[in-house]
Amino acid sequence: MTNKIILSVKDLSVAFHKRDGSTYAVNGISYDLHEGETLGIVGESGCGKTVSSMALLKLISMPPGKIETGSAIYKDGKDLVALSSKELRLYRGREIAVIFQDPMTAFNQVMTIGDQMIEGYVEHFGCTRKDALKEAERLMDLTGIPAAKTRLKDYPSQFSGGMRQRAMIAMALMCKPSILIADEPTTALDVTIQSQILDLMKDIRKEFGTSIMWISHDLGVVAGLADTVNVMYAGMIVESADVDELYYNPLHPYTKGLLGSLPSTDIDNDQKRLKSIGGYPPILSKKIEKCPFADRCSEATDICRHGCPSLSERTGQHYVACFNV
Amino acid sequence: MLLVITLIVFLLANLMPGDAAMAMFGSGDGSITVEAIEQQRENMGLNDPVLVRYFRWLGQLLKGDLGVSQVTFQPVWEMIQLRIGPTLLLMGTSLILSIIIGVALGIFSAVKQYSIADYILTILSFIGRSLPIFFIGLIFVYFFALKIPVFPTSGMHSMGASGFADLLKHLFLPCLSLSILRIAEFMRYSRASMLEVLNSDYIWTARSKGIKERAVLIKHALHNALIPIITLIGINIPVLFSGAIMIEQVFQWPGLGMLFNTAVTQRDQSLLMGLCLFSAIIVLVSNLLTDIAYALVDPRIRYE
Repeated sequence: MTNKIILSVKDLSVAFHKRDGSTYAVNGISYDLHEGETLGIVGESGCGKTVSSMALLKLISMPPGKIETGSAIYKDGKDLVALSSKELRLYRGREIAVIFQDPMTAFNQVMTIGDQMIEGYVEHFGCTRKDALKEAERLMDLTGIPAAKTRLKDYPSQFSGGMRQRAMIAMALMCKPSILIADEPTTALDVTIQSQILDLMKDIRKEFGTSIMWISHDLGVVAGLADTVNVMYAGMIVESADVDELYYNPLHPYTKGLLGSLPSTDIDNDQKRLKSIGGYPPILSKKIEKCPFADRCSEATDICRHGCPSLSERTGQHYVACFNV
Repeated sequence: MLLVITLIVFLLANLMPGDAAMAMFGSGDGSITVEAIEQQRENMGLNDPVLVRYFRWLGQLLKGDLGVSQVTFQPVWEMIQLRIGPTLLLMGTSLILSIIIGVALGIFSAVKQYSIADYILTILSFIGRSLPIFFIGLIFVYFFALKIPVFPTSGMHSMGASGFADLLKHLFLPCLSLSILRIAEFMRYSRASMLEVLNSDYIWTARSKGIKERAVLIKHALHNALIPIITLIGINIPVLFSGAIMIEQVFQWPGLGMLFNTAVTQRDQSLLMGLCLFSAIIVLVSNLLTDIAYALVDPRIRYE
């Protein structure tokens, strides 16, 4: 990880405006991604972690989805939000590639793995099919798929789940992107395969120096992989810090609650039941005007119910959005 | 399967009031005596029990003989052969036309979901599906024969003419009326199928690779969306055949459908049986072809 910022997200808001009402999924998030950094994005289902990341490449249905005015995503000095779909296409797969959550559904079942791997490469580099297949073979080999050459001609249904996720990773690496968005790539896999995929991702980071945005609700996985962690809640980043700092010294009540809900491996621990955060996340049908966590927070005071805290720095590089910290 | 079909049809045909002998003489002017009709029945073997007649027919069939028409005394197979061409021409063009137009409109409508064009097409397809086929035919005859006689409304060729252009002109109306319902149906199904596919994960995967939206739609979406359409084509071949029976009558198209009508009105049982056997074979063959086509387009089926 270097100090060079390769992606800078400023005040990104995404909303879905449908006839029967709007959903404000992402509400003004800002963060920087450094070269070679692995950024963990954690939060519960529906907190906007996937939407906010897919919005970087406009990989959401638009309409009804809309990136609200005032949002900016800077990559190499260009604002991705302002680009036309044709210009943005040059970034998709080439600069920023995505590894999807479910390898069972993310592949087209009626096209060979090889053909799916090379189409982005051929599009971006304008090379021949043969050269592209050679590169695909090399990457499949690298991601640990045996007999890569023959497997390129296979269909997704002939691959096991773990192998498909490896192929998905190989596919994302085809164009040597500088950023990989990994959208819970291990959630759909069993634990053994999960750890193999995690090892593979660590190797890839070492070999390619790629920056990774790792979206997950699995705090354990993020702890083992990420350099920095953004905790998201109700479409906002509520806490952001270095991974060790965040796990050992959580400041936001929500982060504390999340970490407190993890089972302990300590046998002497007399804690009988896992703690949980009471209540439910807010329904995001209105713009956020007060602290979205106030209703579930034990430390909430009057000020929390009348205004929304913004993310601000406490100790070095540790950002929190809370009035009481 | 074929045996069961033929037996049922044979029994049903037998339930129709009247028979070939009566139809032959007509109910006419009373100059035909009951005895004469009875004599004719005896000659034609119509007085034998139903099952005896069925097995007699079946025995002939096993020797490859469909028998002769009870009215014209022409061999049934020859009559069918003579009419097969026009029907295949009508059905074939109609099927191809409805697949191309229907699927294209359906895909367009799905890609432009909730646009004005989509709404208009959906309403049109609803209307198209609701109109009975003979009604469409009659409306066409009314407009194009009586109001603006642009297209001929009966037969396959004009008197004395035999050119290709003349054939097309004659084909136009029957083919169009036969196709409207199909087009509506293909459109509805391909729209639904395409919409489902467009919401799948792998479409987003394809987009994330930075390939052109056209490539996403054609290479990824279309192929997957067409798989269920194959079933629809398979189902539609027999339906088209039954539609042809009515349309051929309306437009006097000299095909199997018209022959079928003649067979029914004249109580020509052997001709009717021949035609039913033939259409049953068409249904079974189209089902088989559907299954084969599935294996061709979907690798998941091929390898199982």
